Amino acid sequence: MNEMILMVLTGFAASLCIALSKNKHTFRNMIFITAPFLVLLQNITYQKDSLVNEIKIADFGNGLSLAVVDSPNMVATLFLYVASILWLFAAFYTLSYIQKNSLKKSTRFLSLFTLAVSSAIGISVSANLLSLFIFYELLTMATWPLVGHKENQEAKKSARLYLYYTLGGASLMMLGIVIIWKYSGNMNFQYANGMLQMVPSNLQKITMAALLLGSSVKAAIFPLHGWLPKAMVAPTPVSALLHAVAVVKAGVFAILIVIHNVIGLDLFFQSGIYKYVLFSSGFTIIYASIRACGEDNLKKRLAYSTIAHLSYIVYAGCFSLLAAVLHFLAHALMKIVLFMAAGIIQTETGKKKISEMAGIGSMLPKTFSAFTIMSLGLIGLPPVIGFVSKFQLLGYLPNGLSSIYSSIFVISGMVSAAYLLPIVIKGWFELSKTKKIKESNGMTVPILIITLSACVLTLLN
Amino acid sequence: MANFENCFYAFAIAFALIAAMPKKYYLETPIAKIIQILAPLTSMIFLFGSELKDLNFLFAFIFILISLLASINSFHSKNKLQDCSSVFYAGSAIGVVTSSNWLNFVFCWEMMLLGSVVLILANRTTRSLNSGIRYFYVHLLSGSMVMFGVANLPTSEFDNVIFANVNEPYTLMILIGFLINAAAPPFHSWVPDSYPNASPTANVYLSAFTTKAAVFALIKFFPSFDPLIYVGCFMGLYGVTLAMLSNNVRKLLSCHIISQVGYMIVGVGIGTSFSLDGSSAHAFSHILYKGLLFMTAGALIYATGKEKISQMGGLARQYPFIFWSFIVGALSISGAPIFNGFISKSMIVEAAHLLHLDPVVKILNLASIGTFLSIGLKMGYYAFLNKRAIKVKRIPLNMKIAMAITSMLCILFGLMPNLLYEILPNQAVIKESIYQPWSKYHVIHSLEILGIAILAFFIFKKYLKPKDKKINTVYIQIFNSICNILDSATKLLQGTAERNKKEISQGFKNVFASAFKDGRENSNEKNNFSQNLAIVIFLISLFILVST
Repeated sequence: MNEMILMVLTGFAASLCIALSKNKHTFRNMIFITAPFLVLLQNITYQKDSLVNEIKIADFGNGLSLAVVDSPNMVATLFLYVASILWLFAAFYTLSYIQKNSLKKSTRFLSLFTLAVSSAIGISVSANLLSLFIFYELLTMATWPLVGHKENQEAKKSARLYLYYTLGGASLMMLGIVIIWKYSGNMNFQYANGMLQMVPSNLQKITMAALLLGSSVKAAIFPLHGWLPKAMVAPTPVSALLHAVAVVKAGVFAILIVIHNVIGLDLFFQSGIYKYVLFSSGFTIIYASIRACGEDNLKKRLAYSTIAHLSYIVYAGCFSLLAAVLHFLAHALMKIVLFMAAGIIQTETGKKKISEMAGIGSMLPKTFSAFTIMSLGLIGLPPVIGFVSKFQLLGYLPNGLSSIYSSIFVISGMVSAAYLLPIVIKGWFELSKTKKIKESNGMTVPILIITLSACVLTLLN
Repeated sequence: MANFENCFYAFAIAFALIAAMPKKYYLETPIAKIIQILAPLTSMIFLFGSELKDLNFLFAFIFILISLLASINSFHSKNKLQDCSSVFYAGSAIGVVTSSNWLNFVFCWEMMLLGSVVLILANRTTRSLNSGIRYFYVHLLSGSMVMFGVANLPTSEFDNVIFANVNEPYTLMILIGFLINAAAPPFHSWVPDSYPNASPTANVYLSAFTTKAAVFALIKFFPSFDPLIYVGCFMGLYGVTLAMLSNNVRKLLSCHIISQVGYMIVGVGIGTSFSLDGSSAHAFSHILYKGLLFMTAGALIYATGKEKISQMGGLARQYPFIFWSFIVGALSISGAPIFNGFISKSMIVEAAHLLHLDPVVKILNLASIGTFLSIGLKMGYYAFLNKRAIKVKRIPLNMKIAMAITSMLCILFGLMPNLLYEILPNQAVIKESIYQPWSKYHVIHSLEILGIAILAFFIFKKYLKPKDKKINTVYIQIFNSICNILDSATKLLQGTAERNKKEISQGFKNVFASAFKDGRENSNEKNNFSQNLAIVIFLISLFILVST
């Protein structure tokens, strides 16, 4: 069996083992930590076997198959690495989070969590549109109960909303995939360039619209972004890894795939559909940034910021894949730290609202330093990797379009400062009578390591 | 630039050491302070060993020198955050003037923003908090502009790049970014707004780096760009006017930064090799004498606990030392002979004179008169001479040492101008020999200016008496109104979004209504969830394994 298949299956097997572990908590935790290690190890030691470019797991006939690719392209490789590396850090964080918060039904939580991340990894290495779709929906199904994990009224309501949005997107995507399958037969996208051209021209627009709309639900592009702030009722590890990295990045990955490989850049610009993508993502950037200023709940504010930054990637991805990929990486690193820090603040002090956070810096110095550094990165200041990606985002001049198009990032950077800076200043400089709290290592060490590596990555650049 | 990293790393290591020092250790021992002094000393050694030359060398030299003097000046203060950020700030400013490629330049430019903001915030008063935030936004705009321009440049070349016009949008962006940092109107208000709210010892750092780094960038990338002459002339007069109106000591001094930077920008705009040398020389002198003036202001505030000129008076008798250092600074800034302002300011005026730009010469002379009037006479008279007795305390020794060294440097460069002229980038004074600083004409001219200022002071003494006036309220109002707009936009969006979201989710609900009607009622039957899920996954994986 191929190593790539093994890598995908490791996660699923781990999820299964955790689910069956009953009350053996040590065993369960061991598996939960080992799985990302194994995946990462396989990832590093993997050597491509360049004879075949797709390896079938299951063949359904008629050109339909569940298959993984042998050597993923640039975006896919990056997604694979980001997901598997951050999974490792998030695993440590999650275990101490569960211990500190005494989360109920933790076995179910850990099992689904592993399942969700491994389906995200499946998305990144999937070879054709059908496998992408299968893993995509597996991800939805695994994340949905995680959103409603607390099982109170609000959580259930949000989970239901989540399902409405994602299944709506899925059905649209299905429509597009079926049309493409009917006319092209071969759905292998990783090295394709414009497979939509085989579809007759009267169906092309419908297919494009269906695919783009379907994938933009998970990428939270206006007006299909409503589920993301609502999904913040989930426990913090879910918000951190899934709703800042895995799920939303899967949506962005799908959009980039659709634009670059399925539609193809030629057709994308000829048909004029790029205007709609640019307009909606540009509007989302401004809209979500301004909405973020009005949120008092820290996690919701970060969620709106996530929405804005996902649209950064989509907006840039229409022209330059390099800038998009860099921001893909940078945003994943920065946002996971911000969410994890928010989780630590909530666990240690019980504070959820920004207005209560005066003097949080002197209470939790390590956590809040990481938070500060990463919020500077999100604004686009050094020494974090966000600086490099902002430089790249500003740097592409779209062919034939004026540079006004990239000045949207300047405005958005200012608004980012408007919603992140008050938290930082309130935390460090508004003094209240507080004692220093001892921070638990299990939760702070992962975010400190990620912060440090984000800084080092910039300096090496 | 082979050894650029070494200059920079001395500050980086110092920053790391101070930041990592435990608080108790910091408060009890002076080690952090000694590290702060050692960092510029070591990087000075590296600088002389490095291959830096011309403009880079001049600015790096003066930046390292002033950070040494400023750290001596702040030896007595115990504020860890301020120490960290000042080292950080100095290091990144040196990074700006010694960087060898664009990415490095922008990186250090943005780092400078972080250092200076934290330096202002470290004062930990409500006013410093508010003005620090405003400062941050203004400079974030500048940083983004520069970054935007640089990212779109067609060339990756860094040395010998000169932008002669602003036809391309990216060049315009870079120019605006530089001018914001150089405090050109209408983006000048951050200087008088934020500098008086930082702590007095931090002011020496603040007055030296940000604006002068912008002047460096203008000299390097925009020499002989004509509109800069008008910008500079306007700044020269405008800064002096603001200074005459202000009552706060440090606000008065920070308004003079605008005016003096105006001189340098005029020199950049004229753009002959002689005038560019004049700008660099004036930046060099300005950093020294402005540092000295801020040191004396800091000493006054430390001794009296008061900030306003109208509350001081008669301090010359109690503090002859501060008084004489102040006189040195005030005469330097007004360009009196034997002080260093004289040898650099007259270069710029002479450069304008050589090209027959008579209006420019007149405006610059007028600004000189105003400078001496507002600093030397107004502040000197009302703070030091006018009689009033107030309670005072002793100033620490390190402040005296710093002031003494800086005053001596001011006089040294004034008496031996060739020390400075030899390290200027073009060495135009020595090579072209069109200009002698000590010629009869220049000495008489500058004495004339001082005489007119003294005359004007005694005529208009009544009007110049310091009073409380708010001079930068427009800036704060603009800032507040932008905040209000953002606030109301947020509320508007929130309102409409809530309505629309309800409709959209209702729409989705209707689509799936039939599919989920049953599921909703059975939602509490999830006890065996994990087992069910496990079985499903097991079946799926079995299916997959069989089919391969």
